[in-house]
Amino acid sequence: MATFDLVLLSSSPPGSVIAAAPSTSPPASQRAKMAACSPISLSPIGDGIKRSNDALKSGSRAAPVPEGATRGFATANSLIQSNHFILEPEEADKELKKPEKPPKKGPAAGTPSRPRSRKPRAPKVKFSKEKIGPKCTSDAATSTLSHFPNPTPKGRSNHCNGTGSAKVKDISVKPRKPRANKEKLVDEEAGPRRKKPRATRKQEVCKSRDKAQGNATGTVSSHFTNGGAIQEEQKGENKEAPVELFDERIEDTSIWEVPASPRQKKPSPPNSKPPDLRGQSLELDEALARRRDWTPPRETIAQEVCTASPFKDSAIQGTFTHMLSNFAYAHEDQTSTVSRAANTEDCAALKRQRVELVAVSRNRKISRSSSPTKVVAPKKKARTITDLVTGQYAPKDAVVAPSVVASEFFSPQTVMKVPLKDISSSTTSNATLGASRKRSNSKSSTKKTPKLKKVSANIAVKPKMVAEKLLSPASAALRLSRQDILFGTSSQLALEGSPTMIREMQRAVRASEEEAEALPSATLFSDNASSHPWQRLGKVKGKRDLWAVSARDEDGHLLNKQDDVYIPEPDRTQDLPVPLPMDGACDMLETSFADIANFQPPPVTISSDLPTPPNTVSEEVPKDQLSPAMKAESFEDIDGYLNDGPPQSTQQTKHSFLDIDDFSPSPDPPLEQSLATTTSTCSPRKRRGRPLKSQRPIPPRLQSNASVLGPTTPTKQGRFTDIEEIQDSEDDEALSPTPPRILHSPPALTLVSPEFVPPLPTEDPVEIFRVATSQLPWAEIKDQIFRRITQAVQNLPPTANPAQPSWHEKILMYDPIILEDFTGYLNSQTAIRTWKRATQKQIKAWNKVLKANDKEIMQVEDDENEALVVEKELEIWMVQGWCQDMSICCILRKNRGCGMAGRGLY
Amino acid sequence: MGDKPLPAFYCCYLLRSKNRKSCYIGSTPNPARRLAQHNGDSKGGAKRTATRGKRPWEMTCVVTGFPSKFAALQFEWAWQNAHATRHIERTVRDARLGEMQSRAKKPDAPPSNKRARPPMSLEARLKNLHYLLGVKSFSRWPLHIRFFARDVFKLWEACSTKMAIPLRKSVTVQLTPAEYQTTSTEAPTDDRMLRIPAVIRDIPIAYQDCKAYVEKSRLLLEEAHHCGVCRGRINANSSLILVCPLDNCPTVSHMSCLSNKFLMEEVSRDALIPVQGTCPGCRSPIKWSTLMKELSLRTRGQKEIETIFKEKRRKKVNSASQLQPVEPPELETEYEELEDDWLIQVDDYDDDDDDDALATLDSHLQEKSDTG
Repeated sequence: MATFDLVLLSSSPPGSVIAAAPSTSPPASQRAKMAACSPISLSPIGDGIKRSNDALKSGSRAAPVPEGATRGFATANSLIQSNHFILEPEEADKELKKPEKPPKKGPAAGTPSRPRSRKPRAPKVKFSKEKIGPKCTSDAATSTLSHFPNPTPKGRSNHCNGTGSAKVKDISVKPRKPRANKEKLVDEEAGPRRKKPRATRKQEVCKSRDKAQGNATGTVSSHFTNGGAIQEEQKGENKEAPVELFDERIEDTSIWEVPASPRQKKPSPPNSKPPDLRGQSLELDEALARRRDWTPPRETIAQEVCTASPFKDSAIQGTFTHMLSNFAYAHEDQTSTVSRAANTEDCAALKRQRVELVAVSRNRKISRSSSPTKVVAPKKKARTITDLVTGQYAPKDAVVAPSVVASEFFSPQTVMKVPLKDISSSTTSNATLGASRKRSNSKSSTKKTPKLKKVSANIAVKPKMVAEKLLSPASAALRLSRQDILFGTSSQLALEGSPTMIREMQRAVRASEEEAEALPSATLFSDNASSHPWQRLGKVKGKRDLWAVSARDEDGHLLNKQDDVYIPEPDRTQDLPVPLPMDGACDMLETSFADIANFQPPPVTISSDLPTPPNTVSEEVPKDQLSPAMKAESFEDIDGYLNDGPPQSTQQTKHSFLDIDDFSPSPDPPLEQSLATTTSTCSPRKRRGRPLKSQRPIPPRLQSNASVLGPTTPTKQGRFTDIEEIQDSEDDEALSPTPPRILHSPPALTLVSPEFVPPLPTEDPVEIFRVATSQLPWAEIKDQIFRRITQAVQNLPPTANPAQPSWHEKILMYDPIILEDFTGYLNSQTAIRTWKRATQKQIKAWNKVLKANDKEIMQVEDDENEALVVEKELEIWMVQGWCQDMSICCILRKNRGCGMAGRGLY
Repeated sequence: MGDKPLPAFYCCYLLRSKNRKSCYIGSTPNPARRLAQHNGDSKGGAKRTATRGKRPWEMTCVVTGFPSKFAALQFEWAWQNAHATRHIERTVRDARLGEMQSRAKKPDAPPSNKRARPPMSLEARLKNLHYLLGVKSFSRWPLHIRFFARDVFKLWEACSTKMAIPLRKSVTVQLTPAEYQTTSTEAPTDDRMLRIPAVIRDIPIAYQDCKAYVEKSRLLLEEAHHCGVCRGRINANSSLILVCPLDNCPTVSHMSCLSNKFLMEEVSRDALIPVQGTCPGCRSPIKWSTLMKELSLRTRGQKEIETIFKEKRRKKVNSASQLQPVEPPELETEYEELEDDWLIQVDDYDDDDDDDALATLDSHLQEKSDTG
């Protein structure tokens, strides 16, 4: 509740704040802090600005600062090196973390009172460090730099208060908490930065102690507690002065620019900071004049900007994880801030001011979001509908905070490492299985991996954020209630055709994992790494067996094809399931970043296994078995074509088609296999649909063609068949680049297919004639056919209706003859036919008829010059040849509009 | 298809650019208008001829007498793509293509896919035309050639002597040199049509010359007649009747009878379409296409006939001498009449132009490579 009120308060100031923000950024204390950390921290400019603001505020109250500084040092080291492990659990319980962290810091700082106030900060710092640590050491350094500026403003505020050390410190402790709250809010977004400032503070404090600048440190601490509110309202002038000093020292232009371009600021602050420490006194003088010039609201804005800038910086730097984590924890932080605020209120008017400051901080956040700076945008995104949607899952996170976080980290990891899925899925399933939310968990888990890799999680989440559209609040709410959210990278989501498919995949994976997972999920690291993968491998083996069986049963080609194709497939499959396994897997991955190395090998093995099964199958079964059956029929057909010439083989082609249907099942198994590897149960639809595609006559034709061509093409055959099969499965299509498309468009045989399809041989026995083989080729009978056509046309009786001339008259009148119509007329009204070799079926059928009629059976010996043939209707190209021969203008109707050649004008 | 009479005029033409290096083959029912388009004097025109450096285009010759637009388009395509047309046997095509490629400066030019049109010189195009006119597919088409450029006509004659198969006699070759007055000497006139040579402008592209014929047949068929061939009774409402085009000859016959007679005269074994024959009444030679044009006009060209006679009235109103005033109104009427056809034709040319664009690209590249 309090937090909301605070937000309202903040809303009013932001406008002024924005203007002042740039000026306030770099106080002398910041510079000093920067100097301490500077070399490492060259980090983002924005951080430096933030620091400056803090320094201005806290400059006078040096005493509290030293505690923080000590803490900061301790935390920095610990965080970078070993904090991850410790911190992760802490992160899981955010509230818990804060108290936990302060003790750590406490020893380092050495002052009990400060630790309390700093404790909240410390946990934040730890979070940030934790987050940063896994990501990049450099990030940590930058964050530390950014943190430094924060303490410095506090010091400035202390100056304003004018009180020296301990009392101020005590007071400051409470106010620090509110700041911490603010910071927490910030921490949600930019926790690491604050941590760093703390560290800087510690350093600064140490330095100040050494330099007898204790006052300044004390002021710093007070600044933390009192925060910007005091400065803004009461002591705005003082604040302004330090800000101005910073500006001068740091390069005024750069400071102004800083919010806009954080990077430039980063380099500048470290350089400027050391001089600031030296000349703080001078700065104070200048600062007074500048403060006069400056309006207080600007200062507040500057603070906001500074705080905002670090966040922005973090986001920009690629710590999207921070963004996500911040949002995820926002609720908790707010609650904590509220409690802290209540504490501060109890204390005194200062507390009130502090509370206001806290509100300002939130306002600042808002203003940040609204502010033009680039960093702001990501924050806004966070508050978008997507955030709301994800927020639904957030409560779940709160309930099982660690698991959620782990899942978040997982998502990226899982994306990166496909093989891990199995393991991760098992672990994740254990963690998240509890509720019916499995889907949501899986989805949320991807986002919510708590532990180490926020960055990766952020990355995964970002695309989603961007992708989703803004809706009106009402519609958004409705949709929220309705929506199922799939988490995954854009590539993953893009690959998956339908969300339902993905879900089915997820379900299947989970189910399989659950079944397979006899092992306890609790043993994440060593156990999972060692045992789970093995078990899963065993599962995979089972799948392999299925594959092998299927492949063997149908056709070896498929298997062969799979070998080539598969290599890419496993990756995709892995990618696809990735979101699913995320649920369980996230925990595994997150918990063990170091362990991941261990995990990786097993996944690799898994991936290799997936491809291998097809390979083995292909090697054993494939080409020989398939080729004989396939080739036999296809070869025969082809031979027939060759002998007969192009036209006559229509019926044979039909046979091949029929055969193709029989073959069609073969392509299915590979698809199923691939699918099965990824998702055992998910894709019945695809299978059903795809086989139809695979059944297309094209592939067998290709095979036949290849076989005809000669021995050179066996590999090609495999590829071709494989590719087509792959095409059938959508996933496969994406994998296999171009060849399938090329394959899709081979109309080469279309010429053979007659438009006027003779009745299927199976239906009625076709009369069979004994004809000299010389009659079979078109070239031999062409003249005869043409003559008959000519006679038929000439013998047409003259029309009785001038409006409907006969074909003969049309020809005489130079009418362009439409070949389709004329061919149809010839086939229907004349007995002009060509011959085509009869198939064995036709011969058998006809012989049955002959037997029934007590007639001799038609037989032809191979060597004879005669062949058993069936009638075949004229085809368009034959009639076209006739027209051409008779100098008749003929055109095609079907291709009209496709250009001259298409119209038969060629 | 069967709804329209034979076109009054349809031709394929061979354009030659000013620089005399490039040619263009097209088809049109109105060569004067089309030439103006190619030269940018009016809207339309093939992209290929839009290049400034190649303008103005000179219409060197036209192949006339196409019995339908489709026939003209077919012939155009075959002429443009003599290397790929189905009307020339493959062996001949390949031999010719090989010959041309061997002549080409670049022997290593990539083997022609179907679209790659070998660059053809004017001479090669004339040879192709010569060959195409003798091909079976077009052997019975009532085609004629008319040259407008002397040098091209000379080249044609030179080619003709070289060709193994002489041009069939039914194809008349005519030279009507065109005078390009305005192109160089005079400043461009406002009337863009004046830039088109008078010879081309004077090409009758309407049914004008059929008017008398149509009128005569109308009058003749109002009476009862007997077929000049079979002596059978003729009913114009139940059969297709042909009328001798000569003014004084009242001969009327069944189409089937007359066609058979003509074919018998030709001694062509198994031809279906006669080219010409003698009138059974007046014994004068008659071209089958003339008969068909009139028949189609009479049976299918109600609109066209109306326009013819509309014009006639105008003429009567205008003046006494029929021949001279005929021209300008004719052009106008042609525009009106051919409007529909024209639109279709534009589309055709668009299609064609795409192909041409590809081909021209290739040719340009080759030219560049040759020059560079």
